[in-house]
Amino acid sequence: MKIKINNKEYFFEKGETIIQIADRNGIHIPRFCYHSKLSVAANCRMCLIEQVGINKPLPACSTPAIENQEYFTNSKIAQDSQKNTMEFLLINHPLDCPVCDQAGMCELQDQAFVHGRVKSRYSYEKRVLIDYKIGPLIKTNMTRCIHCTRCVRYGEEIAGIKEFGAVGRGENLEIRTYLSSAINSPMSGNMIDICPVGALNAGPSHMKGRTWELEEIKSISPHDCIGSNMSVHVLDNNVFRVVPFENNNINEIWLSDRDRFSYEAINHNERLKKPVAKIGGRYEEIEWEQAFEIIKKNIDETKFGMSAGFISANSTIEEQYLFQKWLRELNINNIDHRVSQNYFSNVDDNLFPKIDIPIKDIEKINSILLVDSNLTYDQPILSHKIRKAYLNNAKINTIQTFNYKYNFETSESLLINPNLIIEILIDAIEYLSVITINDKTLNNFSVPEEIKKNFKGKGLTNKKIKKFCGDLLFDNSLILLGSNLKNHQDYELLKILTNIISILTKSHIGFLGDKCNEAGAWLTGCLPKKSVGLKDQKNIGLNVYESIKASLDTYIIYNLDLIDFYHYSDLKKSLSEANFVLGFHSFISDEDLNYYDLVLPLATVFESPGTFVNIEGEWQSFSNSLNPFYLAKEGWKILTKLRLVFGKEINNKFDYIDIINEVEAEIRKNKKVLNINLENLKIQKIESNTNLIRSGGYSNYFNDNIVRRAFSLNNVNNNKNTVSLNKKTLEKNNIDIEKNKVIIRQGEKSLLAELIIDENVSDNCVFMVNSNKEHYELGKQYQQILIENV
Amino acid sequence: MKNNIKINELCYATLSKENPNSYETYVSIGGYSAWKKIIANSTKPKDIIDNIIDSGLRGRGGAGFSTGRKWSFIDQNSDEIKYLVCNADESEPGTCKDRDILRFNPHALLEGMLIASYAIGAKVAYCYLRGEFIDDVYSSVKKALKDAYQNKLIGKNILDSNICIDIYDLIGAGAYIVGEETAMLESIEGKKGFPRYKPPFPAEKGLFGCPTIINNVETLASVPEIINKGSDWFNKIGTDKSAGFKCFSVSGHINKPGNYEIPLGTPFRDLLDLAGGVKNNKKLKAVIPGGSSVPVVPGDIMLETNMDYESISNAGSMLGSGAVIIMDEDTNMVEVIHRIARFYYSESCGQCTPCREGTGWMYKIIDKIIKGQATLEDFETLKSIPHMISGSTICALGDAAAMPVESFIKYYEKEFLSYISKKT
Repeated sequence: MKIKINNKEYFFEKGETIIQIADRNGIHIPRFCYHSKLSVAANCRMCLIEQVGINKPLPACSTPAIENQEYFTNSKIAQDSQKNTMEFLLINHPLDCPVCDQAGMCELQDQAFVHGRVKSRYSYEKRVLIDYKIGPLIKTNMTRCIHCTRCVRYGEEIAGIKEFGAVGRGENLEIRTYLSSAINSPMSGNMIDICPVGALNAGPSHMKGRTWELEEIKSISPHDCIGSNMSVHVLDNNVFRVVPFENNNINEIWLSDRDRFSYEAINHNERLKKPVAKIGGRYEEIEWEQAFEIIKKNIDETKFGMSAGFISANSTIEEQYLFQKWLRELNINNIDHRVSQNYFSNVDDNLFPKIDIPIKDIEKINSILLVDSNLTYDQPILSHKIRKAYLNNAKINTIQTFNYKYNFETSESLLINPNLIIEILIDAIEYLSVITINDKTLNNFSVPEEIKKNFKGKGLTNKKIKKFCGDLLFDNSLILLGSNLKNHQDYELLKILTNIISILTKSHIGFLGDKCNEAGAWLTGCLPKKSVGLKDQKNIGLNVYESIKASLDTYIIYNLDLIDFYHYSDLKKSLSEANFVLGFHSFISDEDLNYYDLVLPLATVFESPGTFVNIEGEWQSFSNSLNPFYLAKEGWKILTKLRLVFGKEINNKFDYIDIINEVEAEIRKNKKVLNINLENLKIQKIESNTNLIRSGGYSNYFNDNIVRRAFSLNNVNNNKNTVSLNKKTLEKNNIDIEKNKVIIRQGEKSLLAELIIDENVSDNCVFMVNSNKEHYELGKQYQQILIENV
Repeated sequence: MKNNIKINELCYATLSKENPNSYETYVSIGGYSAWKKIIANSTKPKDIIDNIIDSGLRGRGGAGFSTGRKWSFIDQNSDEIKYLVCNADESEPGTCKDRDILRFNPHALLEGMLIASYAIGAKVAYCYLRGEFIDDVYSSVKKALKDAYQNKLIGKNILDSNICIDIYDLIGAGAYIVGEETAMLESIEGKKGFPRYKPPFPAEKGLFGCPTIINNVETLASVPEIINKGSDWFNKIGTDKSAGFKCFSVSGHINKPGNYEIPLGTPFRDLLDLAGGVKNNKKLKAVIPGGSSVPVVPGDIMLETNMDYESISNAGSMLGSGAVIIMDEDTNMVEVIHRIARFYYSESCGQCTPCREGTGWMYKIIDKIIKGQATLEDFETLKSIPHMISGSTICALGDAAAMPVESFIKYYEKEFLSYISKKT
């Protein structure tokens, strides 16, 4: 079908509006309320155009194109209307661009330049609104608001958490939160981007620079496993702000608050400026050359077998590759990155963080089973995709240990104690193996005997399990296993069980990670049993738990805070007994420093080029946004230098690009199908015990060493010393609910904490947030815990 | 009072009786016979709609669109749920005609709503009353609904015919803008009363996303008599294009203010006589013929005009809701528009830029003029604003605010200038 705009013909499809056709063809129509990702509001009246034959102007955003109709976006009617609207918008808008953060990227400013009057005809008092605080991330200046309601619609439609609304009417119409509450959405920062004026500004960069002074560098988010694309805006070798970079396969035009504001950590006072060594019992800043000498002296051949290296899954694939290469060249085989994992079985599962469906296709899924994931806060972008699926009528079921708040509705959810997840999944397999018994397309897949032994007949009677499984049997379904479960003692078994369910139901499956490059760490072989490309390693090393327990001579810790380790207390003990502890760190707290003999200052991801592999298996490279902090060095440079120091001959011209080539050559040629080998599968006898178990992961903004130090994000965190239990559990343990304090005991330690009665907690569960220092010093989650009256 | 004008024959037919709003009174004048006849004969909805189209009944809320044609926009063959909404949010300043229908003849409205629901295939109808009706009007409607339910004329299985139509009464919170039909739909849905942009029109996507017809109280209350007496009877009353009776709420400088239901096309002079003439025998200066949102008409033009859609349109104004505001020779027109402008300033919903900002701007300039502080430049600005607002907003409130200002300046510019020249 055809229409004419400004005397030129354009094709369109039924239902398209004029503004969509114009945008596609590069015809400029000014707008404020219209946004391609949001519903149409048609309230700003800026996009008024002329439809030939109608004597009044029509809004291009809400006017559907009519075949063979003629439109003008630049005729007198259209231009006069736009000019009039502009004048109306400006009468109450402060004309204080020089002190507004939005200046230079303000849509109103741009339009005023084209359509505005030289002098205002309005000579009355302007509307002034008192600002209110909505949290540390967004700075409001509502006097500048032009009531386009983009932020209101964003909350309702995209974030799924309705926080802003329009209060009052007429000239007193005001965009604000209900009862002045703070904004709570993990994707709230996007409202700063979609606000066309300076009403919603970024809090951390407020009044710190002008937009036209910035340099823009494309980068990749260093946090969740999605790999959101972002644009880093740099001012004088400092990150001024981070904004999304459009990638419709991953984050579209959105960015989570964690990705947007974590840059604040870069100049944290725990940043290392120079190498720090323990000399004569005191810590001193030393030169790099000295540092290499110390390393060479302390890591000698006699100790290779007695050394272990741990690297962060947040490091780039280049660093991970060189790290394992350096250590393996030294014959150090105790390499691991799975520091947050609780327990390691002997099963060789190869089930690494991945999702076997493109992220962009998740919105087309018909049914989703979510196994214990605080998805909306842990993986905001993924949660947004699932919200889209939900809006497309997908059924979303959950098995969870806590009633998490999602930005979509679940159709059925099962709240269970963490100890019972295994049992529930085995029940589900039992039910599925019965109903799929005649399914020839499964190619004689048989459930391992070890699992069959645990069938108890319960799966055939439990209605909820039948519902979950029934929904998964839909075409195009998906199971997601939450990243928090890594701390669960049976995480590996959980992966295997969910994988079997996905085979039986022919669903897609995703193992979520909470780090940005976990897939990369697996692929580069930062594992005791695997080398690059997941090839079996000849000289099998110890895993992280075994290495810690073995109390070795030398430990090398790369880009990890000690709190990142699940076996935190054991690690501290082993480190203090070790002869030499070497760290590669961007940040180090005074407390952590005490365990090291030498710490090398590492550039953060913002200061180093690199590549991350997301769960979809997408390799995304980025360049450095900043130069390294003081004398900190990029990881790949330090590791290359170390290989030289230890006698490896490396071509002088060897540079960054060669590392990528080498990694790619090793890994990309190895695109074999990964089979799971379940020969060693052993399931301990499953008993339902009624011991109290501790659960609850980190708060949203505590899960890696950068986010932990981002100032504004941490002001959003809830770090209160509270424990939550449901009423039934409290009664069973004879806790006096009248008093609001309880004593909790974990191992030998105890803590006095505030008690919250919360029915979102499952039975026999004590819910605590790990980001509180007192809480993580007490111990980690999924361990037995005791609770007593004060 | 002239005897040759038929007054209060249709919507106010029960007024002359004792207990005008009781069920018994309504039945005694033949009430509900049209509805019973339709039920008994299983009349085809299409026949009812054709009948209403033939009668020439036009919407009495203000726009004057053919009621039957509006009903015919509903796709009779679709399986979608359909709704009827009665707009009883009568808020136009000067208008009080619906209020008296609701107070004194609520059953006519209910019967009209039943017939309309039947004709468009709606099983649920809402009667949305303005917030200020909370006292006697609301109780009158409530009682009428109760009586009609008790007599099995509404509800499930009406008169054992398997027809089910439920009517719900709702009461607003007193916002003028909710009288706009799509803002009313938002309000019924529990949202803020913001008008929706069109298309899609309510007949296609209305209440809860379903096809919906919204009619004024007077329109619906006229329907039963048309069914009873036939479309020809109705069509013969009034003029060619403006058929039937219309209720006029006469107010202002008049001896007998009140509601008068007269045939359309009646000369304004006769209506003025009916209402006892201008107070204190003063000269007629100006008339706002259709509620505060329509352009003002000078008295001498108005005296030569008939009360029907076309004649008033020719006089440069609109019949609107039928609120006739009479102003005598002593009226200060600047003060009148000052008050009217303030009304629209405070009732704008704030959604569209031109209306949100423009209504306040106009009021502020007029206020400045009244205080004797305005300059000619201000007055020139005021003259340009109505043109900037009208036609560029989602709903008609923008035009409603602009038209009076424009017309007052057109006819009474001298009075404005006299305020300005006062400035020393």
